[in-house]
Amino acid sequence: MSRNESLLLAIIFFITVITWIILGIYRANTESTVTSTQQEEIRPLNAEFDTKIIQSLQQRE
Amino acid sequence: MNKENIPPAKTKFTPSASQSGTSSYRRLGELIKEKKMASYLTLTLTFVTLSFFGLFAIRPTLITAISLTRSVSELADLKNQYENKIGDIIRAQGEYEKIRESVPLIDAALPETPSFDTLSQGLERLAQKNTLSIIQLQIEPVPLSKTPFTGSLKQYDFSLTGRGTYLTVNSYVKDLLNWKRVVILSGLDIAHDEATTSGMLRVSIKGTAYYEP
Repeated sequence: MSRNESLLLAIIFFITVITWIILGIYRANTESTVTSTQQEEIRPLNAEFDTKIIQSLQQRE
Repeated sequence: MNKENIPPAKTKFTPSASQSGTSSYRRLGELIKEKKMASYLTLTLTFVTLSFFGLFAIRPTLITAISLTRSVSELADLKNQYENKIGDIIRAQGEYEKIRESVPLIDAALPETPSFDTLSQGLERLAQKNTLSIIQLQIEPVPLSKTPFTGSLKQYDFSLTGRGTYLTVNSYVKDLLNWKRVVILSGLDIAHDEATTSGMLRVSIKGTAYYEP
């Protein structure tokens, strides 16, 4: 293997490693750590009841 | 033939490890002496070293650091959202206390199970109240076992055929519409009862009952 080939191989290896690092960083930055159970749990809750419906139900037989 | 003229026997020379290392080092030294070669070697070794450290040291460190930073921000958000949810639950509990007495009403209007027996009993009770005779009552097949929680409204159809005067039918339909149990009347057919000439009507009612498992 000539010195040119060795250098080229080293550069390609380096670029591959850099790309892999960037992809790893991108993935770590975009991947959410919140589980689906937690997402379900934090879903907003409407704390108000429609009293008009209850009143109309009370008037029913 | 003179002994001195005899050429020495060819013996295979196998250098020892230290000798081999020394010769390699010498060769390396000679190579490095060439300036261009030295530059190539330096560059190649630099890239290889950077790649090696990038692969086994920089990448895991960066990924861990970024993951932790992201986790911290996400957990802070999560904490806020949990606090909001807790506040909502406390408020909902207060609101629930206000309507606690009306909960049986809601259960009666929209039961958790199909409760077809209470539906038929209710239809019969209203018919008795309005002096309407029920000739036939059909209820669509419904599951008897408790269905798992879905949070969605389910429905089943029923049809009723009865006989009575116009006033009876009218008040029965009004009572049905004003019934606690939520039912929707999708069809109403009133016709003269052929069997009698006394102004009796034959009424066919189609409706839908609801429940929420």
